[in-house]
Amino acid sequence: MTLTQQQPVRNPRKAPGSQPQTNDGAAARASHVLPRLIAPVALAGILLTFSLLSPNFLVPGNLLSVLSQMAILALVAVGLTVVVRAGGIDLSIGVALDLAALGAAALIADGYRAWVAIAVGLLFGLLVGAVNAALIVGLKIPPFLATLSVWFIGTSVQQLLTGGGAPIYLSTPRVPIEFALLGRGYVLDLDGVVLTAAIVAVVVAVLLGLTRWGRAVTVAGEQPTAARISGLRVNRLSVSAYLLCSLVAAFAGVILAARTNGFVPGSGQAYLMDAIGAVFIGATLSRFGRVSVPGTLVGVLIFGLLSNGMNLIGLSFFWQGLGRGIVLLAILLLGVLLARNSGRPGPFGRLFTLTAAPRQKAD
Amino acid sequence: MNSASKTPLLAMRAINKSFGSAQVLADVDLSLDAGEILGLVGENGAGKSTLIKILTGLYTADGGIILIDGRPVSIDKPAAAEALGIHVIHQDRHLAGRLTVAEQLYLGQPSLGRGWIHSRKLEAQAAADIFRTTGQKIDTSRLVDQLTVAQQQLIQITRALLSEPQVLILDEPTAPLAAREVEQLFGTLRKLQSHGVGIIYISHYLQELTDITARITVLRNGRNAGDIDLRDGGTLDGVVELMVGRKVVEFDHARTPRNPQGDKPALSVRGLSVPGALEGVDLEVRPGEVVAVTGLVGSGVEVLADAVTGISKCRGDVTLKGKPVRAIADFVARGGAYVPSNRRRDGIFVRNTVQENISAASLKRVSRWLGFVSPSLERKLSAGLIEQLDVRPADGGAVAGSLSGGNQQKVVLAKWLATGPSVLVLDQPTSGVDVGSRSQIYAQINELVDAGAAVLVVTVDLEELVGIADRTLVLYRGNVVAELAGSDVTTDRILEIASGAVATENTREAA
Repeated sequence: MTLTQQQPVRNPRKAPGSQPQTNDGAAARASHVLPRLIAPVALAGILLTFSLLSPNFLVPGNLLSVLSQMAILALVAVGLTVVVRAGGIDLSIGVALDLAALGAAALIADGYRAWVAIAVGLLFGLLVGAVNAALIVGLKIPPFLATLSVWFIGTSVQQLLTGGGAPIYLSTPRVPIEFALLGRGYVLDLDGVVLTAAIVAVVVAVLLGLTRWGRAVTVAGEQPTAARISGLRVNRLSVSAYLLCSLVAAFAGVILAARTNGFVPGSGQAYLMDAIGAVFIGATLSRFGRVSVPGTLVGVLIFGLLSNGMNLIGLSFFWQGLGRGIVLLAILLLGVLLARNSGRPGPFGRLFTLTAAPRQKAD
Repeated sequence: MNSASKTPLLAMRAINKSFGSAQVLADVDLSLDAGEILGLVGENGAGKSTLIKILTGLYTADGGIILIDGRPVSIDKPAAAEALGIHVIHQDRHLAGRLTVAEQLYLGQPSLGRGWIHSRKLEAQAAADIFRTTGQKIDTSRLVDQLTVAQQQLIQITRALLSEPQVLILDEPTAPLAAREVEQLFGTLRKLQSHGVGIIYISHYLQELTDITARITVLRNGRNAGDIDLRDGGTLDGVVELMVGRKVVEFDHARTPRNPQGDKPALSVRGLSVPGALEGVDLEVRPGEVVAVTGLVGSGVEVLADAVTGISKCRGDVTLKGKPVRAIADFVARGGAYVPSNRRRDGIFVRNTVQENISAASLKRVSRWLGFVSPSLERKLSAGLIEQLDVRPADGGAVAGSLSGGNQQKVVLAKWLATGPSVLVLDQPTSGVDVGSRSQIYAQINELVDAGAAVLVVTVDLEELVGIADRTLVLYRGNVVAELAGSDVTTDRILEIASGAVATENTREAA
């Protein structure tokens, strides 16, 4: 039962754009592959460590609850993957989530129908994406700064709209059943939110990996001028990436509102850092440091299993940040070291220098 | 003066190097005397760069020895090579774009005072150093990114010369340079030669080698193919034969002139202006003809192709088959194709496969319902073009960034051939491309033109232009000052006009 439920996160090794054949020797091939195995190996290491430390870790019930806890983070991280693939970053992704949750919760509280609340929630989130796109594509403000500004503004907007940050609580009898199902439904024994997140992840993965749009977004993110010369509408692609990112985050926000039966201002912020970590851990799975949905899900799993394991062995909350930081650092460090040994730039060499000139081939 | 009795300044003996199972160098020898300029040539992939990387400590040889002044030395890291006075000027310009010229020039040199740097004094000193070593003037307060390719190279050369090297290696130094800059570079090299510096000069431009070198070492497939001494009656034809192991006809000088098909221009440019570079350029390319534009660096020739295709901002009207072009997307949508000069940044997608590169401008053609890219359609499209252009390795799954320069350029061309372009604009199409790939690229261009395409080639390679252009426009200080056709098109004539050596009052003939 549990195995099938883990399916959506078990295909990272078959990353989209599967590995082209090279005519190098076996040793050379190993040195290409080794740095890309770090994240899967870390995941296996975490599974092994905690299953030894706690008898309650590697049991179906616990693993299912990990999936439930991670579903929202997975959605946010998948949204962020799109923007990073398109050569940008979105620090305001938590705001998109919050505003969507706020919109949906407020409308439900006012007695609107479920679909109206959901649609308005998604529109609120999309608005954030549209503002980002306008700033970045229209006004040419660097994505980091543009989305940082939007995050500041969005945080304030939430406070103002909720009368100084007062949470919205929905009383259960007044919540339409469709809305409640979105956050607390079960399909057989499986948390519906996990299923929803899996479906969204698959859709985005297919969009990025198999479609014309995904191909275009990827090259436009990596070499914008070359993409422009090839006739691709780079600006439109960029806008579409920010919109899709905020839409996915908004969907996560609506689900969060349904799940928690209300809205607490600023709750989206908690997901941003984990999502960034997960996306870039996922980038180590690609030999070009290219982010992908399967890679991101591996990163999300690493974070999710790590917190769960640390909780089970009774590690205090104050130590958990340390645990995460160490695992993240270890993965990054190994990536750097292995890349150095194999004599080629590692995935991290390029993460933040998306326009840097790549190395020349040995002639 | 008998070189046989002298101990060479640098000798490499029986150098071997393998990457995995592929042997890149097999028993390669090289010797260089003090005060000699040695030519080192070979097709892309012949092993030149690997040999140089071994000499400069970037790679370690699997076997063989390196002698300096007859003493064996160990060069296991770049610092060791520099300590021995071996300096290299790479083909790729490894410069920090966000530094000023002066900062870049002295980067890593401790002699600049303690902590507090007087930037204006530094800039003045930098300008003086650049002028002294290369004879050129550059505003040293500008950012490296703002310089032209030729100017960036000057910084590299000056940087290398400031450390007073014993052995100086230049890897394809003139690729981005126009004729006048080449002359200045040669002047600098001769000066160094007279001071006893040994120089290894790697170039695809064989014609240059006769001007600057006496002896040429030829590599083929990782082995010594032989040495040619131009003083002992060696010829360039001999060099080319050694390089490729066969005869190559690069230019068909005796070809019959093409007849443009129809009077309507396929590409028409009116009053094209780019501030500080171009001032009202007019040109027309008709279907079935090749028009070349050339000029010295600084004449506006560097920015012309970007302006025509709509990549960079400019004023003026560009029309393609009668329809206006305002941005590159219009240009491509109306059947235009553009092979840019910065191949690695703007030409190929370095992190994508050859196959993905070839389909990049025809994604609609290889897509099925809902915009899914069809791997089988994509493979079919690329396989034919890989064969047609002889891309090596002939593997659509190879990563484009790992190909040699010549093969990368073939991939860029293949991307456009896939779209069936009616107007093709090429900017420095064969810069850094080996002889074999070059003739294949020319053959493809000729085929396209015969099929009715209009081709605009922007090039500073005069041999290239003489070989393929039907009409040649010469730029001088941002203006088209001459139009040459037929037997007028000779490198001498073009050079005269481009360098402003002749009055150009009436040179532009009615087209």
